[in-house]
Amino acid sequence: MYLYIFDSFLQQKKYSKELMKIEHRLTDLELKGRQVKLSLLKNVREVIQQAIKDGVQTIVVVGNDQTFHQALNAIAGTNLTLGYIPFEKSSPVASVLHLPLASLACEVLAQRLLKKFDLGKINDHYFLLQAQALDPRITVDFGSYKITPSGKNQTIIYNHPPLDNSIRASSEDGFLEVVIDQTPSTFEKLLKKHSLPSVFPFKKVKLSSAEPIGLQLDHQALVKTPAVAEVVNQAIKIIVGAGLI
Amino acid sequence: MFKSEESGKNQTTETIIGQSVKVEGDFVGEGDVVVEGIVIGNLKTKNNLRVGPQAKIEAKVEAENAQIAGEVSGNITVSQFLEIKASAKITGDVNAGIIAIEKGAKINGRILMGEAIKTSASATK
Repeated sequence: MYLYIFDSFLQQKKYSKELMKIEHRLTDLELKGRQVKLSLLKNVREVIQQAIKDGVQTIVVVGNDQTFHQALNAIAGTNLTLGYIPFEKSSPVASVLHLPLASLACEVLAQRLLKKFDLGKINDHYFLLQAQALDPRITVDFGSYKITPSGKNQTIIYNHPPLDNSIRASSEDGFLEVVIDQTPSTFEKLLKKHSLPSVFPFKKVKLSSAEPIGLQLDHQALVKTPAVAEVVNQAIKIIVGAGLI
Repeated sequence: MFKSEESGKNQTTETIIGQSVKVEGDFVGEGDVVVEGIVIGNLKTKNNLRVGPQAKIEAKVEAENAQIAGEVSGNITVSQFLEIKASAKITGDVNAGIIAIEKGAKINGRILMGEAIKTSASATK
């Protein structure tokens, strides 16, 4: 059984034509299911908890990455399948999952190509792509050793490689990667010099700092240090585009 | 040993300790390790180790194969092939199966070689 969760911003008039297309396409593809529209009184977590009780097997988010992220956190670790009909043109999640926009994504739902992904988890919050520290003064403790960046750095924990594939990572290998990349100085930018980023694969680390530092998960949620980051193997099943299989 | 390292997209390297990072403690890597930063403590890998010219290591070092171009203060044990580049400065004993030393490298310590040296990392493989 399918449950379609429609984002609240889709209630604007400009989306009504596309929503109608989606509805017709889902009917043609025999993928109709229950529909819920989000509002101030209905949040994703409550909707999904009720759906689990009602025996729903597949949750499809229709909307943006923020709602997808909330749904992912609600069903991580369960046996439910997550689908996505993205409406954001620059959606990083849609790019990673090889999903076209809006009604075209219905074809992907029909193909039902499933893939299990590892998820990163920081203080009970899950992320699919990356977690970025908003301040460079963060210490990463691996247990037997710790790393302390110096200078102007950007610390990012990757579960899935970035879109430019500049870092070797995989959301299926049972590891996360801490990447510490130095922000180039003006002089280095002029010379077009960029030093090698640091890459540390891990299963579990502690993140700490002198003062609480924010960690942005998948460009959506925010958690603060001190924190424990770990990988959760094969934590979620997602319907993906053919280009990913 | 380390291919396409200049592009920064080395497919064989697993851990990279960059110039802006300091590692303190007992670092044990499962795959290849590239050090361009600072390591204090112990550094072990079952595979290949590359120490860049800007790297500073104050640690006991163990690897299967290694290429050293930076500063190492500590004993080095390499079970197979050790390449010491011209910019290397090593203070400590060097144990290796096979050694190649470039002109200009500085080594202050004993050099022991000949039979394959078993490191504690490879012994547990």
